[in-house]
Amino acid sequence: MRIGSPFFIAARSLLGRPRRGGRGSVARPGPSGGMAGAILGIGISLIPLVLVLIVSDGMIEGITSRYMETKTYHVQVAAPDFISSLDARRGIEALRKTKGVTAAWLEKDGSGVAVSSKASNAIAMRSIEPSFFEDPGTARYLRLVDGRMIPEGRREIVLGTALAQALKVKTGDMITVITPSYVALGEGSGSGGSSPSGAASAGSAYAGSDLTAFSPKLSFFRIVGTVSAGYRDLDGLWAFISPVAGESLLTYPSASSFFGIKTAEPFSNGLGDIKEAVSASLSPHYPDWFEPYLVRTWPEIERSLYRSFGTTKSMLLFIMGIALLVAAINLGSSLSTFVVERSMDIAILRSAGATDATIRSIFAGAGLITGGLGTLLGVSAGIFLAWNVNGLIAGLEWLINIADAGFAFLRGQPSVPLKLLDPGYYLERIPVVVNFGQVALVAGLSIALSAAASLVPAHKASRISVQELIRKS
Amino acid sequence: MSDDMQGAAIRCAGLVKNFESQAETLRVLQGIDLELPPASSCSIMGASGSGKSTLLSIIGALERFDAGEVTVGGYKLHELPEKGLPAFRSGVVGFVFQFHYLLKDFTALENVALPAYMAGAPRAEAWARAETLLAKVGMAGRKDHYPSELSGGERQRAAIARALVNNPRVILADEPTGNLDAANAAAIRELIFGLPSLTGAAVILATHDRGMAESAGYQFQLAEGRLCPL
Repeated sequence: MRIGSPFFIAARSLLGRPRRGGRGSVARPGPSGGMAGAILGIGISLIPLVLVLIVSDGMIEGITSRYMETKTYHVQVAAPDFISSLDARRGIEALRKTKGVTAAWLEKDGSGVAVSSKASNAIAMRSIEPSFFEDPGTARYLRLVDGRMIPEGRREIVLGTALAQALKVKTGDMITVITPSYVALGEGSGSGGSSPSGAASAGSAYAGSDLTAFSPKLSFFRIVGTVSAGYRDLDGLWAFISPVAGESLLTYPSASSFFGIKTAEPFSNGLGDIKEAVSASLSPHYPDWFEPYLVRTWPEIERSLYRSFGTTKSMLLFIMGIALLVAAINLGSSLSTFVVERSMDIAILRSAGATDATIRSIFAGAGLITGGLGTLLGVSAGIFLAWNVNGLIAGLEWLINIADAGFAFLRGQPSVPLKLLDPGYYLERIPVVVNFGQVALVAGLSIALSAAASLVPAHKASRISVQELIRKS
Repeated sequence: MSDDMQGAAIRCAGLVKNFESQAETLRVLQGIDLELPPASSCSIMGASGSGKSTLLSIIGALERFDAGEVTVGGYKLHELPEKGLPAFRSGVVGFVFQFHYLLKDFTALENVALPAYMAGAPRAEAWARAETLLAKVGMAGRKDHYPSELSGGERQRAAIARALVNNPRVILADEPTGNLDAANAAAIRELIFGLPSLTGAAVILATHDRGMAESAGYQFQLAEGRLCPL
């Protein structure tokens, strides 16, 4: 038996005659009804699978990139709070000379409560050197919405757009920031809010300190700009202040300091090597406190977040996979009908010498062709929809809002515009990332399922009794 | 295969076939003896249900039998294992049925070529053989037509060409003119009885048509499970 003959018979029986012009031609292009339904079923079940795969990859990469470039950096080194900008300079110099490192900064973070004349909200204050905002990675994801991006002096602050909205403030307004401050009353006490000095390491910097009194500290800032990373979780909390302001405001125990490091290839497997190189660069400069465990890569810093993304994606794909399984079972059912429809053809082929294997191959081939065509349809449509997902969502929103506005007009009520992808919860624009390897894997799985689903009908076809059929006919 | 290739194309000895049902045992063939030389023709007449088709199915290895010996084209069917049957059907016998049974989605040429293609012939060779055969049965100009575009006679001609494509030693024709008008039936009769001289194959024809039966070199009547000369 030649492989070509069962495939030829399967393809022709399944897809019908090639289109031919001319008088009297009764070409029947395209598959028969049941098999067309099976192809469509596989295709339709694959569309959401491919769409979810691509869109979730895009969303995850979009959010991950925003976190990495604007919040967590690629690598972080925890530093003691007493480290000053001046003290950090030699570490930064050393880091910038480290192989694989493209930039490094000292960042001081602290939390507090921002109060405007209209509202109050928790804030995460970040004190970073101005060059952070000029970094290409930062600039790619951190967008200036209004005013200036870089705060200067002790009284300027730049807010995330969502935070500004929550506080109901705009550029030029004043806000009050309340931060916790402690007055050290015991041995080694100094002025209120300052950090004790002389600690041995970042982890045990203040062990043994004698903190006894809490005192809220009020600081006044003028908003000089609003920025957005396009992701609510980030925009809703952060506020940037200058290193000078950070030195005085962000102090122990409501603040933390760390070196933020960016690398040439944050997604490469070489991040572990960079981690070691960073340790080697910093340890000579800070022998009193530096330990290698203080160095963490971006997947380690936001491990739970990325795991949650991965789990969500896996669950979605699993659910979509069940739809694909149902489509494959439908294919098996359609093929069984196809076998019944073609039983006389099978009998004739057997009378002409077709072996059981040939008959099985014909119907397995029909299953493969059906699965292949369905997969091609589903994957193509899925990729097309994914590539145009932002436009499609915008179009859908437009249609819904037009309809809503019409109904609202008829009811004499104001319409409330609908936002399908509320930027409060999603990225404002879905980045489309087609991982062709994963798409090929899904396509392969779909074809394999189709082939598996065709095995039973193919076996049934090979059991058809020739003489019985011919006698009946 | 046995070594009597030069002997009879078909030899049946004491062939018995029964059909079992819950109510009764139907004794269809009760000791058939038949010997047919190569390049000869034989007709079998008989009433409906007399067992003509069953005899042809047994000779064509579509059906197993209960007792006796059947040798076709040198193959001893009573010894042939199940897995050897497709090769036998493919290479030794060719079937022509009352209905043409052409595959509707394949052209006349493709229908004729398929048995050769399935038997392992390269596609070009299978198609070339089919084209030659279609020309021989007067279908050269209709080879690219689908069965639905052919007349009844043309379909049956194509079916005959299909039966010949693997150069069989025996042609089994079961009422091949049963669905045809008189003119087409005559043409098919001429074609079928010309096959022994054209191809060297032995032809067994089952028919109700006495005129057709009498065109065969050997003529038999099948009645009550036994074969008698006409």
